[in-house]
Amino acid sequence: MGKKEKWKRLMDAFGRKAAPEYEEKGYPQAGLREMAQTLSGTDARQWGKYAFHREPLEGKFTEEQKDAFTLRANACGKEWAKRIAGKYESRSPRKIAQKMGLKIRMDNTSRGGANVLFAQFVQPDEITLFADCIDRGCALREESGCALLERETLTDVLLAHELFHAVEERNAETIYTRTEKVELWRKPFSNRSSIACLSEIAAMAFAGRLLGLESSPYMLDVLLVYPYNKDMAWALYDEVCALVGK
Amino acid sequence: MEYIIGILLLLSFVGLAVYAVRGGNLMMGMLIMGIIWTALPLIGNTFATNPEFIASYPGVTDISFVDAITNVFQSGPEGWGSVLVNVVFGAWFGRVLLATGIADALIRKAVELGGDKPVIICVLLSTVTTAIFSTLFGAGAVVAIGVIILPILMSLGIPKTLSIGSFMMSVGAGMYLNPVLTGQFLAFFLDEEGKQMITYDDPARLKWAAVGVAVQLIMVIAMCVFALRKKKTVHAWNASAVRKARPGYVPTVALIAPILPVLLLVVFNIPIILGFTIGSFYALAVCGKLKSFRGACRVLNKDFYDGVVDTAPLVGFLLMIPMFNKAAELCVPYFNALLGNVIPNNTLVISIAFALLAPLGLFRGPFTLFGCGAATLGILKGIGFATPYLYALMVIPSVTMNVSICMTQSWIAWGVSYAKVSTREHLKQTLPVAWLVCVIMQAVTYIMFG
Repeated sequence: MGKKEKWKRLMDAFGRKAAPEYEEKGYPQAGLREMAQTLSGTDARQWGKYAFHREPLEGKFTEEQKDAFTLRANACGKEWAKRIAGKYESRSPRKIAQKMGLKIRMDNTSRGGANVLFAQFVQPDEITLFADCIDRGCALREESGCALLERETLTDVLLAHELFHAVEERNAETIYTRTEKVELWRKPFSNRSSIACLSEIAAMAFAGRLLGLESSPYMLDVLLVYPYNKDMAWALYDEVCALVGK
Repeated sequence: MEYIIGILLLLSFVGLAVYAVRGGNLMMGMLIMGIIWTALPLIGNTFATNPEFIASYPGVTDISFVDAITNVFQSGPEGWGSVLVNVVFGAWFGRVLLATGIADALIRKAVELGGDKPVIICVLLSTVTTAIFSTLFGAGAVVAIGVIILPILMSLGIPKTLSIGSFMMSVGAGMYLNPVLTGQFLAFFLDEEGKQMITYDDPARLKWAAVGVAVQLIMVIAMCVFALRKKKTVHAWNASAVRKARPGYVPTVALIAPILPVLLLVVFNIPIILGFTIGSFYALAVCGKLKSFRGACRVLNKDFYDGVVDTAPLVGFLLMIPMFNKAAELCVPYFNALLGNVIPNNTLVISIAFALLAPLGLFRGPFTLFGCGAATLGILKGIGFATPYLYALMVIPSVTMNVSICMTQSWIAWGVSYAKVSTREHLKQTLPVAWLVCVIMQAVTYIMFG
């Protein structure tokens, strides 16, 4: 770098050019149909990347390990869907839930904001579906062209996902999502921890297999946020696209 | 005459309490109170006839109109200038910790140690949060840390009320030591020349603040252990804002940065502004953000800007407080005439009252300095309690009730809305613990300063 260039840089540092830009990063404003199409073409391995991106222990694993965990968690979800459907002789999440003695509750309060809540399972036996979220999601069925947003399908998907968590709690000693552990402390100390996102990956696979879905319920993370906060949905969509290289 | 003015002052105090509880704008509230509490004593001084009363308060009952308004509306806010400077530098330092990724890295390290054990995670994250907020300040900073910590707590199945309660109370624990917040409290204790009557580095005050941090943190940890005793795991399917990518390499040596300014002050008596500056440049340097002069300037500008924006909403309110404080000094003779024989001049009785009635620090009530507690302080000052005692007495409910759990605190309202819990659920989880902290700290205060 020549003297002139160095001098120019020094001047820039004190001048207007050094002033920071305060604009927030904007996200591409994709159409709902376009987002639904792209997301429905995302495979299980790619959704695994998204799940691990939100995993608190993410920094502990290599990309290869993450892929291997994703594969096993998906297999676990599918396997348990087969087992449960066989055991209770039904593929209807509502009927299975009833046979398992689970209470299903509809909550009508709006659960939007910076953290949109779709459904939850509270130990030992309560599943809550958030009606406002279902209503808003269904209203986008036509615009998005996404079959997952049919009222009955959407309700079943949310229910099936939470059903997996109930199954998981009742089989905590044997189910893969609980038996897969990672050592966090250095010897001679020990703290073996399970990996939280495996439970979510398996729950999505469980719902997908039980209901015979063609695309992953993970796409609802974006589509159900859209009616509450478009910017947040675009940001999530951008996050997924960046992670899976679309 | 002094009784009539005293009653009118007391009525205006009740008016401020109602106004604050109903969520009125406190900046305007303080300005109006400053005007009322200047006008009423001046009227009283004009018509007072009791020679004994007039002679008891030289320089107050015979103050001229011009001196009075100059003291209240000019000298008052001017005197707060030094505190404002500390607030700005503290806010800058906070933004540096966020921008370099040090705060984020501390949280990740804690999570990677705790794994899926909710109790260990709660203990570690509460400790880290308290350490971070022993220097960091502002709603922007709380939200920035909250969006990292809260999803982690909730993804581990920790109940939402406990997640939000433990996080916010941990933030509050750090605030006992926080130089920026402390600076705002210290602004209530200025002498007639605008000088601080009690300082941040006062050894007894520092010791008391450290006890405050420890007591509140231990109670938060106890709350987590107790609440998770009967584990009722929640698995929620939710979608939250985009998880930001790691902000870059953060070496282990950078992790001491959050406590560096306080450490420098306590151990080496390095003034807090220099401490913030050293802490900021240390953080930026070890995280590799000072590789070029131009880049350093850019980072400096951006972080300073963000930090000032973080504290801007508070600054207006805090500039009105010195007016009110100064006006309260004019009211001392009238409060003494009316309440001098009613409010006990006994620190034990006052401490017990503040312990038992600690929830009056909620909803901008009469026990919080960020509400109509400023007026309570005015009354208590008039009775003549020692400054360190009064400081501790008022700061406890202000930090533990108002800043740590009250829905009128901007970042708590954000957190409760983020976690989707009701105000009732939030208070049910946190109020008993906060109350206990207040009782313990009032006892500590009585032993140390009573």
